[in-house]
Amino acid sequence: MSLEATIEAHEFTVASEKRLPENVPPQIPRSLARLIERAAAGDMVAFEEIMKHSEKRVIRMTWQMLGNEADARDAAQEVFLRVYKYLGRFKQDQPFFAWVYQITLNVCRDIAKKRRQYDTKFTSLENGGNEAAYVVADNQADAEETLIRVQERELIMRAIATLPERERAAILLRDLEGLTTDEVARIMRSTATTVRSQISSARQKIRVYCGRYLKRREERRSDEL
Amino acid sequence: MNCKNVEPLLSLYVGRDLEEEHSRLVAAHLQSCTKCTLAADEYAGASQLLQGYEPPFFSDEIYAGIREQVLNKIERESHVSVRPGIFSQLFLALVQPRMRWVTAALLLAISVTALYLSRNPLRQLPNDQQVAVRTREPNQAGSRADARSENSNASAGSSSFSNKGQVRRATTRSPITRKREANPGVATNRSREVDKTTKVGSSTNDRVVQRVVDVSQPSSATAPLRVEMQTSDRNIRIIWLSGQRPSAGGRDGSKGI
Repeated sequence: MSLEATIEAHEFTVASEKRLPENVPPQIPRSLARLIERAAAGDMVAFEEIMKHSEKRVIRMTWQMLGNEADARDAAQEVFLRVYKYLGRFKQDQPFFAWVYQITLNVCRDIAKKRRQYDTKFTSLENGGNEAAYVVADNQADAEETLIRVQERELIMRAIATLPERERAAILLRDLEGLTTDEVARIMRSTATTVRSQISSARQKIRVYCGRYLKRREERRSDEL
Repeated sequence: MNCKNVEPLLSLYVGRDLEEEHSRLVAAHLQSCTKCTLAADEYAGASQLLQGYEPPFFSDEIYAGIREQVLNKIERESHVSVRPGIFSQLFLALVQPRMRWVTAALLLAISVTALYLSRNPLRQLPNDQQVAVRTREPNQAGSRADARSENSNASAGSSSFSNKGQVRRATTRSPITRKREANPGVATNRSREVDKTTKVGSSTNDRVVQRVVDVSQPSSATAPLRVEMQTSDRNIRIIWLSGQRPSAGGRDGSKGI
């Protein structure tokens, strides 16, 4: 970065800090609020920082919603493009990541609709899954354990693939992202009661789907004991 | 609580989504019911499986690649700052898949309207105002006749208006009108009042003139022509008198009062 650009960036930072309101809401850390303001004003460095802050969550969510890496990456790109586009509309009295999740869900829905892959193209580990990402076990016991984990993972993937879109989003946000029911309801623009009902329904379906495997696992464990 | 009540709550109980009171009741029931305890264990097992649903490891290069692509795209889009025109935007919006029903309905409505207009062309200009012109015999003002036509005498009376740019002549004339014009000197014994609709241009005087214009038709060619015009003010009425009928070839002795 040249000296002029550095000075300009510094002046911009000072100016944006001056514009920042005194009482920043507690949902957003002050540093993030500054970054958002700068990015909304067109500062690409600030926007890159925001991407770094949120990319892991976004990728995780897109992968869990879409089920394969290529779509997850495409979706993540689209999410960040929309975040940049609508950053000016973001109100700082709402949680930033809830807003990002909202965009993520919309993008995933659009991509899934476009490619019509919810039920047909869900990536199987046997067919093009990212096998290199899995840890290769050193000895036989670890290998067995790894194999079991891979099986369980595939099973839960298939179970989640059977869920309707909103139930899938609700259970992923609640059980995997660890958000509260109220936060999930806000992200999904729904009520807490509806979300609770969707989560309950999704858990029941997953339990039914995985029931036989879970029974066999329990039997195996009791045999080992 | 019995099993029937507890079963729907089990999934929420395992995920700690129940209120405290309900949670306490379910826990109390589970201590005494093996079947529901097994079901709760299955929910817990499914929840444990779900926790293993983690995405594969994405390297830093992958994240960096995503960031770079996003930034490049933003930069490219910022260079292409030419916004499409309003018609282009409208067209693009209408051809979107989710707007196809709206587009179809719009095209259908336009087609139906065009078909209707082609079969029933408009005969009146929309901005024109309409004025009813009544003609009557001055000596038999009280009598009413039932004949209705577009009267040339009325148009003769209205010609004085048209000279001042207030009234346009009616373009269509009835057979009765033509007959009278052919024999202007023949006085009709029948007292007649004819309602006529004619168009008034959009001049500033239109606001003054009320919609009813009385034209007193002379019974003979030499009798004066009397035209009364009521303005929007009830106390003001414009009366035109002509010494001779214009069609008789004499000098127009009309004057306004």
